[in-house]
Amino acid sequence: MGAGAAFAAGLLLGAAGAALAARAVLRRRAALYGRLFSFAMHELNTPVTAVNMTVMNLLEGVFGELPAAQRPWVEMTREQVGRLNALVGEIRDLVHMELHKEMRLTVAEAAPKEVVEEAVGALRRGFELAGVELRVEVPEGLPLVRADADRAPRSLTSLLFHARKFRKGGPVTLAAARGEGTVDFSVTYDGAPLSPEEAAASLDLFYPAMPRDDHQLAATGLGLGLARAVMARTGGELDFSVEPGGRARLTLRLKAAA
Amino acid sequence: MARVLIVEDEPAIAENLAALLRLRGHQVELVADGPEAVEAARKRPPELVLLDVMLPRMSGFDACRLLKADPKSAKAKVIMVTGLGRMGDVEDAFNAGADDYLIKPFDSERLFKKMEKVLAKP
Repeated sequence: MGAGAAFAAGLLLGAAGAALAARAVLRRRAALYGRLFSFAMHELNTPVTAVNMTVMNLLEGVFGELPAAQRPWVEMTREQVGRLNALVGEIRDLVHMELHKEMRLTVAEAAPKEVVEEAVGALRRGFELAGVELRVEVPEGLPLVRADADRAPRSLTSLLFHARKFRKGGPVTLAAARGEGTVDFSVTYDGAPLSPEEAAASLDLFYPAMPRDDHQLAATGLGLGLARAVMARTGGELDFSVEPGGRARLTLRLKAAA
Repeated sequence: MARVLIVEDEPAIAENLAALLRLRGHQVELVADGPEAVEAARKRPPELVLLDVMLPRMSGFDACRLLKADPKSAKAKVIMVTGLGRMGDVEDAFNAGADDYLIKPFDSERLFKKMEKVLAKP
């Protein structure tokens, strides 16, 4: 049923009929958009995978030794492909959550160190090239966590990107620590002072672009909001706190395996 | 080192995978769709099949069922390769008899870990 038919239903059946018809139109549209975005993301995923594999193979010397002068450029490309890949995954998850109203995760036990290494792997060189020190602190003896093997590292990557994007100076630290029935992954950095309300709003899905005088870059509302929404489905939590001086802490809490 | 059949219709992905595996000493055969995979596995049984889900002519799930149903290829371990977030793909992969799955895009480390894991299975 299209908008014209819904209008006709309104004329014939009154307000209640119009409302029902409009609802049917919206549902049909949402389902249609959901399928459209799913197909588009799948189509996008294939070239991203192909470029990612080529870049990885170049870096690993599969096609011969990479000339030293070219390596930094290929490493930068690797990070950009990683970002593109993360974005495709995020939009896809968003479509499943918001339009299909269903998203299945594959939750299994994972070592915190592996989750961190997976998240940091593609980013470390990008931090170096940007002149930003990335500190990683994962002590031995942490319990395994219950996590989706693909989405947990991607969520951590989102936190690290956020920190790099919004830091005002100094290093970015990723640390894992034992919590109460959880393992807590914290990303800390010096950023712009935010009120508790602003910090909390930053974790909302669809948090709007936020032009500010004190940091020029705008948040899209996708990275943190989506990370929180996805991690909540695995029993995890994401918090964001900012001290008055701007010291920011993003904490992803993943349930420890029993 | 293993005999690996790669079933992937995107040449850029297939060729990259093949180059990576050959460098590690694996024997690699490439095919681009499900029926070709079934035929190749019957003629030259592989130890491992890297099987894409979305394929021309026959889905990866159907190809996996046929591979597992045929005594000549039934012993081959199958890793299904799927796009992130496709609802039910992982579940459907296991229902079709796959031994494990990989979500695109993946890096070589993850690929080799999965290969090692499934090839070690009895």
